[in-house]
Amino acid sequence: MKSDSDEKQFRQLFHELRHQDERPAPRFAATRQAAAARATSGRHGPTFWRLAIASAALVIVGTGVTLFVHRASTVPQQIVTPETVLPITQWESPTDFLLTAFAVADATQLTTQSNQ
Amino acid sequence: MKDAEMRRQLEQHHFASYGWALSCCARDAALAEDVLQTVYLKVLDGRARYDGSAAFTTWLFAVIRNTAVAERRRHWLRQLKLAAFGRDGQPARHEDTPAAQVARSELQAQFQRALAALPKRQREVLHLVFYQDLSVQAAADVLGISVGSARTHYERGKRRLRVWLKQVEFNDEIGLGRKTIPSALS
Repeated sequence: MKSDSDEKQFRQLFHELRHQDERPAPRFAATRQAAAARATSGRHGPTFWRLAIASAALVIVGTGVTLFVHRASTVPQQIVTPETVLPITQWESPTDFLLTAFAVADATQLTTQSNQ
Repeated sequence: MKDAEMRRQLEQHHFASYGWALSCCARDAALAEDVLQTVYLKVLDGRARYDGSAAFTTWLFAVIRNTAVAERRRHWLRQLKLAAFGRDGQPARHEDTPAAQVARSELQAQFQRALAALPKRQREVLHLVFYQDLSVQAAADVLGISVGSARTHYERGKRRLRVWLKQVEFNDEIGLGRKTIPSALS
């Protein structure tokens, strides 16, 4: 079968490749020593970095929230000044003068009618 | 598994692990060494634990593959940073040394190029089956995919390699030798 011979050839090529890879491969002891050296060289593990990133994100979010709350509480005080706020007893409607004008006109009319 | 037993197993599968790491790192020897060191570190300090539910090599190869993915991402980011500074940060490749080039047969060199041209999944499955002598089922376990999917990648990969092989044989027959790289895989 042709496909069988192809497979045999693939297997052979892969085995040649494996043999070729083994020659320059580092020894197990050397790799393990290098790994141990990395472990003791103070290189931080992924957990450390995850914690660091999480802390940084918390600080950023916290600062953002604090700034937002601070601004929200200070901005209205800047817009509404104590001078412009009047007590409710002194407040007058801007159209109050119309009522007074009509009242005067009505009174005049009534007087005129009664005189007739 | 006890520490001594774990070390013995790692040592026993060291070359196979290196070969798999090479395959996962696009045959970048320096990166493969880095990956293997990280894997040994993970295994020996208990961050990667073997629970015995799969074969040891299946578990180890899965750890290597996952580590290689993470390392390659980090390596890519480092390369980006280096490129930003206008420096060439390419690692020294063992395979590019003159001695290695001389030792490599022409067919083997072409075979490696043909493998590199395959889609990643097909290359991984073929490597695990032919290079590591694993079954398709074990290859699927290593890659975290279904057996059906692994078998499809396996068949497609073989089909593409067959086309490449035919092209090589045809070139030999008509006397072109192996100088021309077949475009059958692209």
